[in-house]
Amino acid sequence: MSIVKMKYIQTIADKNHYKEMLITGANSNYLHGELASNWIDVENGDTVLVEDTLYNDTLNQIHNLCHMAGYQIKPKEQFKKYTVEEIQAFLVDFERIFKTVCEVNDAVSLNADDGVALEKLREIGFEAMNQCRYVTFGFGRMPNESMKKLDLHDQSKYEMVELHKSNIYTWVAYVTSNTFVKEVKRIFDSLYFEEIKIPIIDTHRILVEYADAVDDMVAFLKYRYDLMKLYKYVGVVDGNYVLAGFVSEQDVRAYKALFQHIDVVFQEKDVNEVSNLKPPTKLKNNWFTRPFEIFINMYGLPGYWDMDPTTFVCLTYCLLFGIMFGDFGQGFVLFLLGTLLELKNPKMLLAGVISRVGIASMIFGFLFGSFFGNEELFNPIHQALFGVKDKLFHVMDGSSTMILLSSAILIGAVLILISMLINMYLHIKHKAYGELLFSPNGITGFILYGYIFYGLLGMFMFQYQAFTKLNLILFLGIPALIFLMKEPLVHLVEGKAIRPKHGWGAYFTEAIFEVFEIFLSYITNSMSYLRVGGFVLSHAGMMLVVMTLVEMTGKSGLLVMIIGNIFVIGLEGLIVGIQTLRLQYYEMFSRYYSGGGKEFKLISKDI
Amino acid sequence: MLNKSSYAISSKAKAMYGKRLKLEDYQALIAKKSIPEIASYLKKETYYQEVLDGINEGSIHRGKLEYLIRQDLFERFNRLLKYGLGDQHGTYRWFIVLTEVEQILESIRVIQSQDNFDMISRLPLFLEKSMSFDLKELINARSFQDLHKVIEHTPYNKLLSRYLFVEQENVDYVQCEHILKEYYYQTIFDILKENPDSASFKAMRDIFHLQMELENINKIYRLKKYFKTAPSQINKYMNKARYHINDKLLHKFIYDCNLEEFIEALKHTYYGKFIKKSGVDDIEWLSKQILYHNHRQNLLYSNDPDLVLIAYLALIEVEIQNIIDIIEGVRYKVPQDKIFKLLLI
Repeated sequence: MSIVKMKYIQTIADKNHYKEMLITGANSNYLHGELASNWIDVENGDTVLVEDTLYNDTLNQIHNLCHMAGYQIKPKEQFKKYTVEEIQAFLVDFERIFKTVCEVNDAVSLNADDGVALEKLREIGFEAMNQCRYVTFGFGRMPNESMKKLDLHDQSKYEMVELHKSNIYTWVAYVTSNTFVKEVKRIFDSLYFEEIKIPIIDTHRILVEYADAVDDMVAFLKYRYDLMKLYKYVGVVDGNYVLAGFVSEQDVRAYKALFQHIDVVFQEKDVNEVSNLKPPTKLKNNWFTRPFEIFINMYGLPGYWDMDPTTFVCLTYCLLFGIMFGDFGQGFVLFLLGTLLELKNPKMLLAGVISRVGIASMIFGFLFGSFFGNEELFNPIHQALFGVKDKLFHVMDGSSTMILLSSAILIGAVLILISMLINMYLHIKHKAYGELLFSPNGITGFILYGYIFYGLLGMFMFQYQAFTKLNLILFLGIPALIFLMKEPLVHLVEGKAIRPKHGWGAYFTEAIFEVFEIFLSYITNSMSYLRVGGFVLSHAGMMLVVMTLVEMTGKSGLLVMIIGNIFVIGLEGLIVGIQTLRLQYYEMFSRYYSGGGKEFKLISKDI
Repeated sequence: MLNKSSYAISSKAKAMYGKRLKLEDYQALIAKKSIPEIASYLKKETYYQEVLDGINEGSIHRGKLEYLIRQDLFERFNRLLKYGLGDQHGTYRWFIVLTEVEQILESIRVIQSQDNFDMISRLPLFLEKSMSFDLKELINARSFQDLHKVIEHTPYNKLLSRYLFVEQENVDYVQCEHILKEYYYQTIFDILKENPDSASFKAMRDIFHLQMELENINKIYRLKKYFKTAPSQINKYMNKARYHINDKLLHKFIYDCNLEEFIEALKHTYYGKFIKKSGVDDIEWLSKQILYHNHRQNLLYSNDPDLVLIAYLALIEVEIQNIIDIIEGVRYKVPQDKIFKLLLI
């Protein structure tokens, strides 16, 4: 319901402890890091900590060679620490061995089946087979059709073993004396034997032997590389290493406690003491309103000094959605769907929105007496609770249409007035008194729009006359004049020169059109809320069609009803959701909200 | 031969022929630089996809590719027969006889050369169960006595006994081929005679008479051109069938003409128009083209299942030969235009 209060904290360590400080800060889950380049004083000789590319380059080199050699790296949790010399020595050895593995792999182009067969052949030992002086080994695949013909040849001059079989090929290895090798090769060749070269070294064994060393080194290099990604947050000031950023007020103590074992010093400041930095915005809302932060994030976070509008958005969104999509049954479906999605994925904010607007739909659905398109089911309850003859409100009744549309504009007008009040509150907070007094969404605008609203209420509902000559001069004429003179008046309040920047002639030409535009926007913004009433009618109309189809289809009625309801929930739920969001953004946010805040982002997200 | 109710076979054969390799396929194949590229094209762009699926086109051997394509032909033939009456009927029988004749001839060549490697690699084991003799025993026959034992209880024994039980180096291979081919055609005509009144009888007889006559012309051409064989010997190798060329004319070709005179005389027969039209004197290639043309006409315009099936098999055989010619051409780096001229399209 509010924006979390922040503290600016600088954590300072010496040359021997800054890495530990950085890691602790990154793992703290409290710190929003501030780029050192934003706050160091270059003239004072401050610098940003410089990155060393050794770790990244080496890491890339190892990754590339492992990929080419077909080795899947599994970095270790616990690893040794290496000096630069040790890393370089490892790299020389690693490159020599893995390049040989790559060359052998390239020479033996294998598919998956070849690999299976080769795996079985490995048991004999590739090096051993290649080193034999008096016998020759052959390995490859032979078409299954040819396998049947093999026994038509003289089989006494070789020994053969089947290693693997697919639908088309059989993978075999044979061994023969060097005396018969030509003859045996001719037999195999004539049967379309496709020879695969037996590798000169066992690449698999080599990879297994080196796996531990590679995984250990990669883990260490990754740790150093990740650490280096955070160097941008560290400034070197007078030989000290400073990690600066924002921590929420309530977390400051916990944050400091994490550094107990490290030799560091803290410097803590209020956010208004660091005017050169923009404090980050962290919203804090209760479980019910929190999902609506999604709409705030979409539009842009509020500034640190602004107001968090989530609660207002939550209430108005639920109200407008509930009215437009008022059906108890369908609301329950939305509630159920939203709750299930929320349980499955608690981070899915939209699911929370669905479940909450579902509740609003249920409330208004109950008031409209609508349950999956059935308009009579709640009648007895209405009669018992509200003492009405039939039901509380007949949406589809001809006489209800005007009431609905008028009520929609009424709700709109009230929401516009509330938006203006919020805007005024923010102007007071920012001490922008000129805008507070003279802007269309300030006191003058509020008086003018409030007067028209009050007058129309008297004219159409409460039978009093507010549009007298005097009132019109006071509440319509004077505000219009104030709008016309807004810029000079604001300048006057702010103690600036009254004369407009481009002279009086240009100013009045522009201001007349602006005043016209302000009046026009009051009308169009109010009319925009007509859609609330319109969608009540549209929803009821669509359900009427579904219910008519249910009656027409006889035995299949239940199926038609289910499909019809799914269709209406899907289609209209989406449209109403979008329209409500449109009202939020265009009719309300435009009056009081500017966004432009900076997200509170944990330093750990950079790793 | 086939049940006449199985007219579906002609529709099916025509539909299958529709998937044949087209001119643009041949052009693409000729443009390939290696056998793996040809195999890859056949596997990915043509209806040979099914039979070549799973093969390693990067290392495929020319012989294996040919073997797989031939196996595919047999499988297609089998599929077509399912529309007819199965493997006890005429068309299947002559197909088997043809294969048996080819295998016996191959065996005679093996006995003469004492090298059975190629025969083993090409051995149609997929037809093993339909043969009247044991294929595997045939492979191991290293003498005519062995061959005699293998075919002892088949009609081929009686046919060949006069020729095989002489000294091995004196065996007349051409004569053996002639005798076996005679038997093959005789089998066909015997099968045809089972339904002498059928509408297809004449058309079937005509196509085989044409084939036999073209074989006679080819033999005269080949024996005169390459072997300078004595006329009386050439006469021994002649088929009995006469179609567009009568006995008198054939006698003249054999006894009274040298090669040039024979070709000139041939130009004044039914076949002359083909020689004039194509402008080439390669009688063997022309013979193939005439047969190809006839089979194509039958496949496109006939509805007789037997005729269409035989035409289909002959045309696919031509397609296979075209592929083999392309493979050979690419392998030996023959210019593309020369390979193209070899093809029957």
